[in-house]
Amino acid sequence: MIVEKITTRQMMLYIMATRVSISISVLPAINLPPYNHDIWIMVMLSITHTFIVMIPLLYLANKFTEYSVIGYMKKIFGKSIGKILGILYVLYFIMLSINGITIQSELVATSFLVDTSNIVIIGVMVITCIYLVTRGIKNILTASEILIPIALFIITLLVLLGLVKVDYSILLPILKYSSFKDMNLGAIQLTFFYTDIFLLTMIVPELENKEDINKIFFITTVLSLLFSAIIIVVVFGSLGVEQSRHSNFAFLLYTRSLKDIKILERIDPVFVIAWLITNFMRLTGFLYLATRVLREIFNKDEKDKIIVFIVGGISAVVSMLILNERSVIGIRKQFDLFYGILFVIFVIAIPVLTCIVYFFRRKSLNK
Amino acid sequence: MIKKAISIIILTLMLMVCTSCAGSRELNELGIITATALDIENEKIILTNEVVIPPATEPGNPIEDKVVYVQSTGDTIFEAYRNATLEFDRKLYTAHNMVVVFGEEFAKRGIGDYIVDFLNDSEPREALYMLVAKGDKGYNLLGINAGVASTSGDYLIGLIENFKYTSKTRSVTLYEYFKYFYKNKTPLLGVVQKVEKIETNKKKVKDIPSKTVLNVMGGAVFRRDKLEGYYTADEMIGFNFMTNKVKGGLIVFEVPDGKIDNKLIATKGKFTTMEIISSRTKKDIEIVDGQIHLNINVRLKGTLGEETEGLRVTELDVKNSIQKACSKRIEKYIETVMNKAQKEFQIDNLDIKNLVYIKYPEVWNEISDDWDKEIFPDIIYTVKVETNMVRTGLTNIPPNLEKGREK
Repeated sequence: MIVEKITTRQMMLYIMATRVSISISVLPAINLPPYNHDIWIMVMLSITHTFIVMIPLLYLANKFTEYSVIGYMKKIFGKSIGKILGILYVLYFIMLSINGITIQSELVATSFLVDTSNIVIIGVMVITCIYLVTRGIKNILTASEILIPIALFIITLLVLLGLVKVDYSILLPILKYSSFKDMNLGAIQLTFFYTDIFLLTMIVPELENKEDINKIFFITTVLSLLFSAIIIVVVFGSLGVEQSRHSNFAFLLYTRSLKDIKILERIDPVFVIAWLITNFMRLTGFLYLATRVLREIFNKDEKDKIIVFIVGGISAVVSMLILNERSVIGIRKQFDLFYGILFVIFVIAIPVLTCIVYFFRRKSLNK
Repeated sequence: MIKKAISIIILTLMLMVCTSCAGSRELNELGIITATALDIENEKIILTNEVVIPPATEPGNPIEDKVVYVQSTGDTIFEAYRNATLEFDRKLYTAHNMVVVFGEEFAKRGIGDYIVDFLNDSEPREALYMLVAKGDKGYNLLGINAGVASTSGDYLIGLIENFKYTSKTRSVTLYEYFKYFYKNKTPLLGVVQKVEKIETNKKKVKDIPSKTVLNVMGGAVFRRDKLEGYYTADEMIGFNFMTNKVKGGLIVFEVPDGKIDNKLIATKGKFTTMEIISSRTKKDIEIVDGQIHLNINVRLKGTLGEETEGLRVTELDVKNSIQKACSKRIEKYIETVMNKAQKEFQIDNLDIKNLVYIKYPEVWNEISDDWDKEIFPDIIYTVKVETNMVRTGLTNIPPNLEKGREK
């Protein structure tokens, strides 16, 4: 039987979508230092910081191309510790999916479906994602190969439509009111929002061209952050810096302010199409990762569907509980700090520790 | 078989959900607003809405009243909207509202604290036009329709969007207001007022000799969110030149008397009209010996729209005289608005502070707190306008001159 592999293009499109989805929903960069019109430069600067932060995971992914993160951790740390770390990663991926679900539900509930209850919004969202995960990673990425170009085209179109009203003087003076420290602080914090590296490092064994790992990561990081910087320039130029920062969903506000499009009564639905595609892909990705790690721990294959429902169910219930308690989007800052700490643990600390252990044990492992 | 059955059930359920039937609101359940007025009386918000009667707006429908006016009160705008349901049989729907008129008193009290509702709620549009009712209550202006639009809201929107033909006002939307508010703390809104006109419709003139129309002209100047005063129509032309927002319009001026080669250039007292094709204003600021100097450079491309002075426009010298006279008129517009902003209002809503912010960050950090009251009024400025008349329309000699025998 020929096992279909994931192509470099499919992987790149998928990671692009997950990264762009963050920009078109909460646009976290605009609430980071230096808190002014130079934020778009900080976003560009964060390309370097992203590479630095991700070096350990990328190094391990290149070294163990036949294993996922959990696979090589079991190999390096031994089965027991590997399984414990695996469980921790499951929890982390579930938390990421919960964070994604809550943010997207807040966006939907405050913008499009204000009269619809959270249970319906979350239910529809999670059921769709569960269905996608049950079809397997190859099918998810094949679907994304068709859908994501549509989403990216729509976002590009929305950006282009607003270019005529952009006041570029808002972006001046460049770097006169921002300190070097603030720029770097913002760039580091921004890297904490992008956890999509796991989508790549977990799926390495299924990649058609395993030598493209670095290429995929480099291109998607540069393009997505460039895209994010362009979105920030357009949003700032249209709405102004402060108004954008006051908004919970700045790109949505920008989209709603496009009034010269006579062919559409309201342009929000166009945004919704792009938002739906990219965010459902992102949530599906996290649910898939959690499911996959659990499958690896319990030695199950993709035919085992029950794990998907368990992971999806837990994510949905916890998201519901959070949304019923956390009614104000503004207090997300505390959650961002929490997820920042988790990022440091799971994306930096554990992989660095793994690299160190691998360095000392590499001779025995290579035998 | 079971899989297929489950798939069909799921697809059927999805079909129901995806048609947006859940939580839908039918047209006959909504009170669709086309215009809103906001006033304050006895410390209460007075919210007046023009609500359309859908069947009445259909072309050829004989129903005379196409709209109803719903007024409600509350401590906040949101409460006033909800209180409307106590007396009106439909919940007000704001998504189609494109204009809000603030009563003068309301604007003087400060609109910032109140209009947050328009931003928080997902229903109103960010592209909602905002106007101030000069010397009047906002609700007094709703219901006036002297145009061909089916509702007074549509009539008002038409007037606002006509600003590009005159540049005598500004069309400012909700998100633009907040953009200027956060940037300069000195936003500017368009102005609307009632004007009595002689009724010229012979069928109506017997009963009512005059009619009321709306006039959207001038600008309402705000310090933070409080109305401070008004710019006139001419001052708004200067304002739009200063802020590089001239989209079109006319410059009406006199070409001074004079002779070139013993031939009369113009007969004083008659006007020449230049139609603006395009305009670009560049502002630059310099600090020399501690004094801030502003250089304003305007480049205008225009077409000779109307000429009643008997000018020989085909003569190069005459053409230059016309261009020079047009430039002088624009300089005058700019000087007028600068004087009013500097001396009367002491409010920099001309975006000059931004030039200092960009070019002299260190200076800006020192003077930003004193800008409007102490620094801005003493700025020295130079205006330079360059007019380029690129067309003369379909004729090249006015009818009051005979070609070949001009004197």
